Amino acid sequence: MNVSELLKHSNFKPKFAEKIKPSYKDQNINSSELTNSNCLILLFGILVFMLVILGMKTIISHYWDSLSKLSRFIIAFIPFFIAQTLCGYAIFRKKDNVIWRECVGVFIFLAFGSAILMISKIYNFYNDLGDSVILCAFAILPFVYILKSSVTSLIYLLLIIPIFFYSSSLPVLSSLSNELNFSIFLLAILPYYYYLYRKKSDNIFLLIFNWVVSIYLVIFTFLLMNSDSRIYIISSLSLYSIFTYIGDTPYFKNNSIAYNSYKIIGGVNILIFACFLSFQNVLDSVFIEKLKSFESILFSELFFTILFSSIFLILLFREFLMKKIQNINCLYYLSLAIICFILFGLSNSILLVCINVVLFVYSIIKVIDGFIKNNILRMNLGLTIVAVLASLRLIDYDIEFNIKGLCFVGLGLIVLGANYYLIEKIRYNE
Amino acid sequence: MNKKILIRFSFVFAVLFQLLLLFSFIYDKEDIINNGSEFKFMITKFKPSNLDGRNYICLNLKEEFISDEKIQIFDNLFVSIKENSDGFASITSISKERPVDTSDYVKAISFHSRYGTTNYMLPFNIFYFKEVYADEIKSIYKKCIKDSSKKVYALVSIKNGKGLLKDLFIDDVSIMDMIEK
Repeated sequence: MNVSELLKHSNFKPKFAEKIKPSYKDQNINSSELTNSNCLILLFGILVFMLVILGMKTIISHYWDSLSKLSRFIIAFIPFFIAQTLCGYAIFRKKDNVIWRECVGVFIFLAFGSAILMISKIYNFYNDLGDSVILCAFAILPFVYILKSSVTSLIYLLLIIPIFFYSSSLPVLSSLSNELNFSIFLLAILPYYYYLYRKKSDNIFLLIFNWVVSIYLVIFTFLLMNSDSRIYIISSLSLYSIFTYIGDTPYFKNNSIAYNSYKIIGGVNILIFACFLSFQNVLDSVFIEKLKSFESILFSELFFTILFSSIFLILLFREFLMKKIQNINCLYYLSLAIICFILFGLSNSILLVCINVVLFVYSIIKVIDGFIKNNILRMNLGLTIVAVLASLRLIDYDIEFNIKGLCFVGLGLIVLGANYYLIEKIRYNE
Repeated sequence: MNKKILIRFSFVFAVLFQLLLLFSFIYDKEDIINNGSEFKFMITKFKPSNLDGRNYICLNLKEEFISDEKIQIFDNLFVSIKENSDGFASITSISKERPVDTSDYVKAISFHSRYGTTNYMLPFNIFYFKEVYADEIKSIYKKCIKDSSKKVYALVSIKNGKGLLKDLFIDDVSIMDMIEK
């Protein structure tokens, strides 16, 4: 008997019954939302399906040699049909039960994958594993939307990885380049991501999606832009600035920081990039020659660079219109400045000075901001960047060791003093 | 109600779509066997570890080529194949781009690359058989591969980048026929 029936038969007033109903929802196994209590059951369900599939395979493989070709085909299709029947049952009868939907989604993936692998086994043909994985991704994509299954969508996200590395011989995929295929496959799952986001639940899958999608995009730009380092730096800095913008939207700001993968990845990566580029050696090795002619740059690289940077510029323009200048995140200025320096084609020595100055100014702004707003974290971030910059420059140039040592001691004392001063100030204000 | 019907219809279409994918996968393999062009690959190299498999022999179809093109490990290579005057297959060219004018090529993956030399493995490298015949097949294979007077070759069917190993021959006699006699 579920909660609503229980309340109907009890002698509570309807209004009161309606009030206490949500607090019983967690214990209801048949609920349509994924909660902590039925997450465990979901895990067991997936485990059971995996064990069932593995057990069937073990039994079959023992008798494999003595089977004829037709019976092998029939065996390959059996788990597939069982999975589809269960899926039909879940859709027609158990539509509101989340565990049914999630488990069936996983079972469909396992059944389809095993069918493909067994067909490969029938022909003793193993050298297109990449194709099989991509076929699996194709096959489970509709079920992500039909079953609204989050676990299946995560499996899909894992399965699309080989598209990037493997030049597939599937007729649909071989006509386009790998990067475009990958981005089309990633775009296909984004409506589901939007659906999760719209539900506004503090869902664990939303957290995983945030991290996975942002990391995919970072790796995507890294792998794509390999013909010219300038193009790579421009596109990835724009991408990270877009990430920072997404992380600053009210939805992410009001949620826990663990959900805000965009802000963490964007901010940290911009700073790491800036620190790397402030090295003489890195600059010399990265920008050996002037920007090559546009013919040597691939079309897809140029396309994505222009896409990312134009989105970044539009967002920055929007920020200028909406906010006061002192409220805009300084990271945008930092990345915009570096992009501009690279586009102007400055020589390496001037570029080095410019990037160092910009980074130093950024950290000083952070320190002052932290002092004014009594924010220890922000001040320490600024101080850390100053410390990192100073130590990088000390490594770069030949200075005597005792002077280097004294500089490090001085840096430590400054950080300690600033923190002590700020804590005293906060205490005094209270 | 309307949404419910939509979901049910899309379920039916999704199932049909999956079936279509599976059957296209099968059709692909049948197409290679029936319509692919057949080549004979001579087997010359042998290592004792090639016989370690429970129900297969590793044929050691490792090849090596030297080129100026920058090839990294795990790059996809397209190997064009032609029949030479002896009736055996020989490799004509290797590139990272898919050949357009011919369908007689296979896709291979480089597994070692150094100083402009790249090693790659042809994709039909393993010959499977029933486990019952394992000992006999292995002993015959071992004896014949060391005997330089006998020709050991693999019959491979190739179409559009995929190659399927059909049979193993020793002096124009199938190894399975030799066992069954």
